Amino acid sequence: MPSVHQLIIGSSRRDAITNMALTLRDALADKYDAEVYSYFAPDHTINGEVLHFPDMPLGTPEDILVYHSSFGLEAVTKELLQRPERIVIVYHNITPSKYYEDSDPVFAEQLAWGRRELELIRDKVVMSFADSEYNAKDLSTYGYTDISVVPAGVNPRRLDEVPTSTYFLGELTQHFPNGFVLFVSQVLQHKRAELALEMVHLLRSVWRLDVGLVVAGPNRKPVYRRDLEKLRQRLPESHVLFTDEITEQQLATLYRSCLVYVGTSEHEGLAIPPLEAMANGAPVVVRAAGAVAETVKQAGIIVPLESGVGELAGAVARVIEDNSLRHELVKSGYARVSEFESVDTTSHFVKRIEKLFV
Amino acid sequence: MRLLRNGSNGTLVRHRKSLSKVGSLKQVDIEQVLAEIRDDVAKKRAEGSFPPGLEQELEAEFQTILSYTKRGITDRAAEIERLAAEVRHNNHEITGLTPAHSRIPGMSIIHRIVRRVIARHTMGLAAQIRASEESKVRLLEIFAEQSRAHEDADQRLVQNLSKHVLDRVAVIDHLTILVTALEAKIRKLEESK
Repeated sequence: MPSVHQLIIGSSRRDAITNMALTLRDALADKYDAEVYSYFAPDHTINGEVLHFPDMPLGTPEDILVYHSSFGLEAVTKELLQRPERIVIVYHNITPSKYYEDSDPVFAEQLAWGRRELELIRDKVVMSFADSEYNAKDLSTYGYTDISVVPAGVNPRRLDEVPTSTYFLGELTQHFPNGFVLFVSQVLQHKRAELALEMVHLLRSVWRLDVGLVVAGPNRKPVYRRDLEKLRQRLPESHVLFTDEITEQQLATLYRSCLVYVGTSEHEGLAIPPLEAMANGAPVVVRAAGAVAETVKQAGIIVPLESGVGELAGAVARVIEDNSLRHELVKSGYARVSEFESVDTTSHFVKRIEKLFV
Repeated sequence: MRLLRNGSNGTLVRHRKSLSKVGSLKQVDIEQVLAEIRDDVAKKRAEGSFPPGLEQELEAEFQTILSYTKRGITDRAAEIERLAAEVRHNNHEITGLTPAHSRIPGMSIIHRIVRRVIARHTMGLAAQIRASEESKVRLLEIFAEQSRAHEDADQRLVQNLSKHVLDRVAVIDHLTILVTALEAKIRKLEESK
């Protein structure tokens, strides 16, 4: 049986790329020897489902290695170039290094290397996928052609079966008796969480709305997180809760009980949290970064990137105060998720892979 | 105000089915909503409830915080505290007694005897050094406290100054509006004559 193994850089239960790869693995496993390998050791939340890269068997030139590109490590590039398998690339976008050049030069170099890697492995790549038009356009600038735009393995309704945590809901109600705005993302500089903090300060001080903000996501950059904490201390009206790492049940509870989901990112290759928010009935207000507009479409309020935090706060305030608009956005959100799911992207992916074995 | 959507434990599917029966969705004119939001923000600014420069002030605030990170000064006070802890740790190792072992046969005994003979003096010296190091530790701790207080005071001062400047700018903006209105009234009066 030929092998179609996948390689991701890191893995965790809450990581979007890990979940996408696992969905694809399940679909591929009927016909091929298919596993997901993580370059860094899988964390405890996913251990057993994702295997560690050193355990990946060496394939043949007939086999396929599906590489999920999202970061850059020279050691990984070296492996990709030396291994005999044909490479299929799934491009999830690599954050431009400019966001980290000052604050984290090593991280910035790795991001820059990721883009260099795209050029280096190009000749070994036999098929290319991108999970959004935005990513396809980005990938094409590195000389890739015939790129399939398939958000393969994305499941916005993955939390459907996860029950709401009544205990956590009680805590939230106690902390925010009049509700809260939700920001879901890894706490990284290009996600611009500070705009969400400034926004809630304006909501409370200018719009006089007694609401808070929940910043839900793992703390990836402690220095940036500390900077956000400082900002919170200096803005007397920023009523904020940083949850750091949370469980799936807590995340589902947050989506289901927030007043509005807000996205402030500066760069997004696909933007899954707004889709999950819509699937859980939250109205969505986002900034038009990268692929956000094509992902959210008409189902949310998309604030232009050049607008100030005042407009962002104005949009969130409008959704909170205007029941009719909120209701329409929730309905549009459900419709958008159904539209997103109407194409069986996983089967499409598998069919394209099959062509490589004909 | 709080409404839990989708219920809990499996009610989500039923809820979604009921939504699908709603029929065709009324399309929200997002462009129209955005235009209204812009108007609302502009109105708030004109009313003065949204002071001019507030957004810039917020942005500048965060940039100030970030500039410390960019210069690599992530936390100077913490760095001084780390040094103090290091000096304190090393201090415990100043005993005034040197190792007596030797590779030359019989020399270890001689070293031990010499060490014992002069221990009264070396241990006294070590105690003096430890006391001096302890003062250094205290000094570093005072520096750390000062550094923290200083950083906070500096930031508060800049924040207050910016606020005052922006308040003045707001007053000037308001005066400009009043002058324009006054000019219009004068023009009207002149025309009516």
